[in-house]
Amino acid sequence: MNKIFLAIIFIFLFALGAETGIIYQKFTDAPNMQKAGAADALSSGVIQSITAYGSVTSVDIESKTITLASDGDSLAIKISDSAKIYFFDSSNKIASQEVGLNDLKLGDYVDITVEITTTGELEGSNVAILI
Amino acid sequence: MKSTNAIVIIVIGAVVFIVGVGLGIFYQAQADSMQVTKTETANALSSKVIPSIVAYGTVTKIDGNNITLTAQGDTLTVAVSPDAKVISFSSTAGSTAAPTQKDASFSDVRTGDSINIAVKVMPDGQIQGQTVIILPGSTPVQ
Repeated sequence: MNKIFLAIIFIFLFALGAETGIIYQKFTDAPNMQKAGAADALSSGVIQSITAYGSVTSVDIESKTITLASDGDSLAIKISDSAKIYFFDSSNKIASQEVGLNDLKLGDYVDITVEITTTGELEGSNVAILI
Repeated sequence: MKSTNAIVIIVIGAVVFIVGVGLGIFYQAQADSMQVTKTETANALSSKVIPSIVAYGTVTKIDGNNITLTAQGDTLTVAVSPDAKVISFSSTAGSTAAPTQKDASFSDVRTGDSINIAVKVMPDGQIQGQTVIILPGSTPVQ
C-alpha cells in the first residue's frame, strides 16, 4: 500500500516538474513569439513585396549568399537557385543585362526582392545590381 | 531508521521533480525550435537593409488604428502609426487620364477600399504601417 502511495507521489512530482519546465520555457521564449508571429504575418499573400537594399560587403558563391550593409546594419541573404540577377546601367535606363552571382563586386549597390520561405527563412528571388 | 527512510524518499522525490523540470524544458524548447528561425527572420526584417515592405489588399475591417487587409485568401492586420501619411489616388471611370493624387487622412479609409500599406517591422516584432495609399476605384475622398 505504501509503495503504491509513494509511486503515485513520484508520478505526481514528475508531472508537476514537467509542467513547471514547460511553463518556464514558454515564459523564457515569450518575447520571441511575437517576433516569430511577424515572420508568419509577412509570409502572407497580403505582402506584395519585400525589398532589401544596400552595398555588397561579401558574396559567398558556394552558399549563394550575399551580405548587404546599409545605415550601419548588415544582413546576409541566401539567393534562391532560380533567382535572376540583372545589371542595370544608369547611363542607359532601358538596358539591363542578366548576369551571374560572380559578377557582383564588393561595394556594388543592389536591390534584392526577398521572400519568406515556408520554414520562415529569408530568400532572395531577384537581384538588381544598380550602378 | 524511519527518519533515514523519510530523507531518502524526499531526495528521490526532489530528483524526480528536477528530472521532470528538465524534460519539460527540453520538450518545450524542441517545440519552439522553428520559432527561433522565424524570430531571426523577424529580426532581419527590422534591419535598415530592408527599407521597403508593401502590403496590398482589400480593407475588410477597421478597428481603431488597425486595418485588416485581405488578398489571395490571406488576411493581415496592420497597426497604422498615428503619424502615417495617407494618400488617395482617384480616377474617373472610363477616363484615360492619370489618377489624381490627394492628401487624405486615416478616416478616409473605408471597408472595401483597395490599399497599399508600406509597413515596417519594429524591434519588438510588431508590424507598423507607415504610409497608406488608397488606390483608384476605392471610395472617393471628399
